[in-house]
Amino acid sequence: MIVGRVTGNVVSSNKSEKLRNAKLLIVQIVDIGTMEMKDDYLIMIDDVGAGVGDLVFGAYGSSSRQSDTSKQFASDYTIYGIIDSIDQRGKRTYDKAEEEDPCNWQK
Amino acid sequence: MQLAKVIGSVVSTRKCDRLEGMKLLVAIPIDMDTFQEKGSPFVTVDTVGAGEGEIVMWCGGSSSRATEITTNKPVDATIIGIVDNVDILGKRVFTKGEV
Repeated sequence: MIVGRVTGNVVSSNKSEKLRNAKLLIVQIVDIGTMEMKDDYLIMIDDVGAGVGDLVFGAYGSSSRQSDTSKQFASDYTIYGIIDSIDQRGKRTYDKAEEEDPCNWQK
Repeated sequence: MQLAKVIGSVVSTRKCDRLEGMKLLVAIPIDMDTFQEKGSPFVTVDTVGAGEGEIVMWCGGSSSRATEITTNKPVDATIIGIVDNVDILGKRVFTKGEV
């Protein structure tokens, strides 16, 4: 499951019927080993109400159409969760509650 | 299928309801030549009770939904086995429990 930071959104009025009412978010992929944002962007359909600054995870391909709301969309990447915390090797490497500025890239 | 080592876990309360009760683990790919960690960690769903430090087998894509636990679930990487040992070219390259 891919992990990334929501950094923006896309508006498209002239689009496939199969994308009507889909919320299109820009997600920048995060390497959770270093928590660095990679230079790699995706447009993902939001299924859980994620917003800019959220660290999210999602599924790819046919797995991105496996929920009641996303099965109707022509999607290949869908956000299925907002991450609260990540523990690795016995250490907490990410904690949403302790993040001062999730949108620190805006400085 | 590929090998990976479980190194952690992910907590997500606000998630797709079909993921309710799923164990989200963090795993890092294992290079079969050196049997060392290689690449960056990724999030995977556990179906066999894998614990931190264990070498596991995982599958991706639609096959990751081929277990009873993950059928029709929005999952694209599933741990489907805990590895006891690995033999390559007649040599035992991994044994569970031996560092």
